[in-house]
Formats: sequence, structure tokens, C-alpha cells
Amino acid sequence: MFPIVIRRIAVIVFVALSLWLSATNLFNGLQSRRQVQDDPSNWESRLQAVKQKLPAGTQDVGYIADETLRSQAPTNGELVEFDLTKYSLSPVIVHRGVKSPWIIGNFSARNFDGWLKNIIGAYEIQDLGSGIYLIHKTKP
Amino acid sequence: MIVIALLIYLAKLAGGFLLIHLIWDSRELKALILKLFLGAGMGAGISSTLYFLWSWLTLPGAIYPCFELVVLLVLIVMVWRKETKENLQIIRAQFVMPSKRTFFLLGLLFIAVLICLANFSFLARAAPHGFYDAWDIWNIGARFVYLSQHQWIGAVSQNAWDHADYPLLVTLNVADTWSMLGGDSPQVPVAFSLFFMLGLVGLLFSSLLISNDLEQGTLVAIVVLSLVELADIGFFQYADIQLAYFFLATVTFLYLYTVEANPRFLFLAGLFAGFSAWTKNEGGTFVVISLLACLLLSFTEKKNLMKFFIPGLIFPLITVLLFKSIAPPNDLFFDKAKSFQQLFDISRYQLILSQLWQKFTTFGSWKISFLVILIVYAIALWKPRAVKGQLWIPLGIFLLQFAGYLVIYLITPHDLYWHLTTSLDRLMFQVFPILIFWLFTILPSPRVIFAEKLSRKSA
Repeated sequence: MFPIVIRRIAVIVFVALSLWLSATNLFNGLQSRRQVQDDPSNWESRLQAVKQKLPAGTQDVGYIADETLRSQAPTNGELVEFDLTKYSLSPVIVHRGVKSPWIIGNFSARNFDGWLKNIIGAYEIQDLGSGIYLIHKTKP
Repeated sequence: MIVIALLIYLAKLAGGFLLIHLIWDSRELKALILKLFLGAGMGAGISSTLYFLWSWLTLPGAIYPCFELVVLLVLIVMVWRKETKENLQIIRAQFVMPSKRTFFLLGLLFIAVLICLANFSFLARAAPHGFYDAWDIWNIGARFVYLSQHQWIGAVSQNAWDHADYPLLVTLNVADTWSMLGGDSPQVPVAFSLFFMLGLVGLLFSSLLISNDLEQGTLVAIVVLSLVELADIGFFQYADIQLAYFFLATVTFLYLYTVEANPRFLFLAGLFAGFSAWTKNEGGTFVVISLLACLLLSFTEKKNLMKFFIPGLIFPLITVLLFKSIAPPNDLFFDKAKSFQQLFDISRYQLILSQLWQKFTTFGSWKISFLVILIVYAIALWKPRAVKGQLWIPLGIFLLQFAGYLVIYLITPHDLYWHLTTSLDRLMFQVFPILIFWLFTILPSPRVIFAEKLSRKSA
């Protein structure tokens, strides 16, 4: 067993170290909060027009994006965008594909019209800006 | 908005406190403080299980907050009728002026709480929706519940959001408060996270107040508040804080039973273990381990203690089973044959151990690992005191639960490195309070250490 002086110092150091680290965390938190991205808020703003234009009572929508055209697995960033779309539009259920009458398009360029016509036939499309499109199948 | 949300959660805490007080009517001051912090988990647990059953029965969601209010009023009346003026005097008579050193430590704790609150609020403002899992699992679920009313049960079956099979304690507590406030403000899940973050620290404080003394509880609260994981997981709005809370509450009651053989402790332990399974899937493993601990305790005490533990467990467990009957399957157990083969892959063990070591050396984000400092502190102070309870319970549960996590890593169908780097620190945090409770129950408190010096002087 260590002498009582050592034991007493251990307690004091432990408490002092904890408080010092709490203060350090606060300082680091102030620094790091500038780097924190509020992606959900940004994405909700981006999809605000979609929410307004979807008819009331819509229960589910499809989702197509650049990765759908590539026919490849989505990148991490694309996965995040799909999840953010689900969050932003909830409680509307969003699933990948074109089965639903209403489809959200999320594209970096408008190079998908020919592909879309082949897949779903007739449709109406609204360009909502920032690469977001609201597509409505006119033939079931 | 955040203040109103916190007031709603405090009302749930009050209901939880009253319910615990009806089950365990100790009027000892230490017990009352413990019950106060346990009220947070009891309130949130009961509220969310009842909300689920309410929705399951397709009762009108708009009336549910009124039902909760009626339950709270009934609890107030029941406790009011039970408590007499003499009882209040008994409580008042226990107030003793703490020593100057205790006051000083409590003052430092107050400062540590303020710093942690400031850190939390800065970070929560920067990311009001929390981090990935918060909006992708818990808060999106809450939106479905709040915005689609009863149709949300169908949305669970359709896997409408990621991990729709995850239990609903956090989700329903957020949705319930949104119903009361009439809007899905992101500040509500922030408030719920803050509520449990402080609840967890308070539970550690009060459980050590009972198992050791006030100064030990205060010391541990100051130390835990300094961990970067606490504020981070708090503002991420991940459910690991709630899970750690329920693990600790269960272990505290199992341990308290070995100190004072009150069967009601086992009932409460069962209830809190059940709430852990209602919080996250890891709680399922914890329920099995808690049952095992209770079974072992039955053997050592030569009594059937399961008859007290299981009635507590049954209500939350039925809720979990009802939910699981509609939830999609968990993503960890798709390919059982492949998972079994992975158990014999040595490279997986190596990767798990290397990541474990890496997290061990960086836990707490202190310059030197917090766990290393903890070991040094324990060695410096090591002088096991006479402890009445059986300390193998917290230690055994800690080790078994952590071993369970390592088995999951062995069999996971996901990329192992990705799975480890995205979850190991959170899993360590879930069981960490149990380890702290065990260690600081054994170690002498500052009061004892400083008293030793004084007694030598006087000698």
C-alpha cells in the first residue's frame, strides 16, 4: 500500500486533471463546432420544394440518382444523400427505384431523360433546382 | 422549446420517481437521491412502453398525453396518501451539514456540470439533428410515429427507415413530446439526450453514494463529466447513453440486493434490464446475462430469486416481443453459416484485439489513456475496504456483456474494420459505467483517505 501522502496526492491530481480536461473539451468543442456540418438542415432546405409539391396523402415515393444511371453500388456520399432524403421526406416512405407514381431525382447533370423514358415511358418532370427533380409518371 | 421539452421530461422523471417510491419505499436520504435519478429511466421506460401498447391497440394518439397526465396524477395521489408528516420529518432529520471538503468537492462538481453543459450546448447548436444514426434511425422513426400516427406500425414492417428493427424507447419518448408540443422541433431530441446524459452522471453519483459515500460519488461524477465520449455521444443523440444508464441501473439493484436482501430490488433490476432491451438490441444480450447473474445469485443464496426478477422483466419484455413480431429482421444474422465460419478466422481476432488496444489507449481522449490513468489511480489507492455486497455481480456482468460484443464482431456480416471503427468506442462506453461502479465501490473514498491522515495526526 502506498503512503497516505501519495494516496492523497493521487486524489487531488485525479480531480484536477478531470477538471482541466473538462475545460480542454470545452475549448476543443468550440473549435470543432465550426467544422461540424449540419447536413440534415441543409438537405431539408434542398427538398423543401419537393415536400410542397407532393400531393397530400402521398405515402411513398421512388428515388433515382446518379448511381442508378451508373448501375453501380452507391458511394458513401450517395448513400448519405439517400438517407437524408428519407429523413427529410418522412413520413413519406422513400425507396430506390421507379415503382411509385412519384419519383425523386437527384442528379449532378440532366443526362437522364432518355434513360428515364425507356424505363417508365411517359412522365412529367419539374426541375426544383440544386439537382433535385420531381418526376410524375403519367402512365401507370 | 428546449426548456419546455426538458420540463416534460422532468415530469416523466417525477412519475418514475413516484412509481419507484411506491415499490421501494425507503425514506433514507441516500435512497431518495438514487430514486430521483432512477426516475429518469423509469419515467422514460414506462412512458414509451405504454405509448407503444397504446398505438398497438390503435387508440387515438392525440389522447395519449392526457392518459400520461392521468397516470402521473394517480401516482401523486397514491404517494400523497402513503406519506405522512412524520415521514417528512424523518427525511428532514437526516440532513447533516457536509464537511468543508465535501462542500468544496460538490462545488467542483457544479463547475464540471456547467462546463459539460456549455460544451454540449455549443455542439448541439452546430448539429441540431444530431449525427448520422440519430437522424437515420431514432429521429426519423420519431417523425414517422408523430406525423403518420398509427400508420407508423405499418412503416416499421416495411423497413421505412434504416434499422427499423431497433427498439423504440428513444424514438417514442421523442415522438410523445412532439405530440405534447404540437411540432417536430429538433430541439426535443436534443433535450432528451441532455436529460439522459445528466441522468447517467446522476445515477453514477447516487449509486456510489449508496455503495460507498458522498465524496466518492462526487469524485466519480467529476471524472466522468470530463470524458469527451459523454458530451460527444450526448450531442450525437445516440442511444448508447440511455443504454449505459439502464445497464447501470440494473447492476445497481442486483448489487444492492446482495447488501440488503430486499426482493423488490430484484423486481426493479428486472424492470430496468427489460428497459435496456427496449432501448437497443444490445439490451437483449444484457437481459440474458442479468438472468444468469440472478440465477447464480439464487444458487449462492439457496433461494429462488428468479420469481422476483422475472415479474419485473416481463412487462418491458412483452413490449419488446410485440415490437419484434412486426419489425424486420436484424441485419447481423442473415448468413448464419458464414457467421459460424468466421468464428475460426484468426485474422478477425487479431484485428479485433488491435482495435481494442487502440481504443483502450485513446479512450477518454486524454493525453494519456483515461483507462491507464484509472489503473494507476486504482493501484495508488488500492486498499480493499470491507464491502458488504457481492462485487462479482457488476464485474461479471461487465465482462460477459463485453465478451458478447466481441462475439458479435467475430460473426458480423459487415466489413469488420468498418464495424469496429464505427461502434467499438460506443460499446465500450455502454459498459464503462458498470466498471466504474465496481471499481469505485471497492476503492476508498476521498473522505476515508483524508480521514486516515487526520487519525494518524491525532494518534
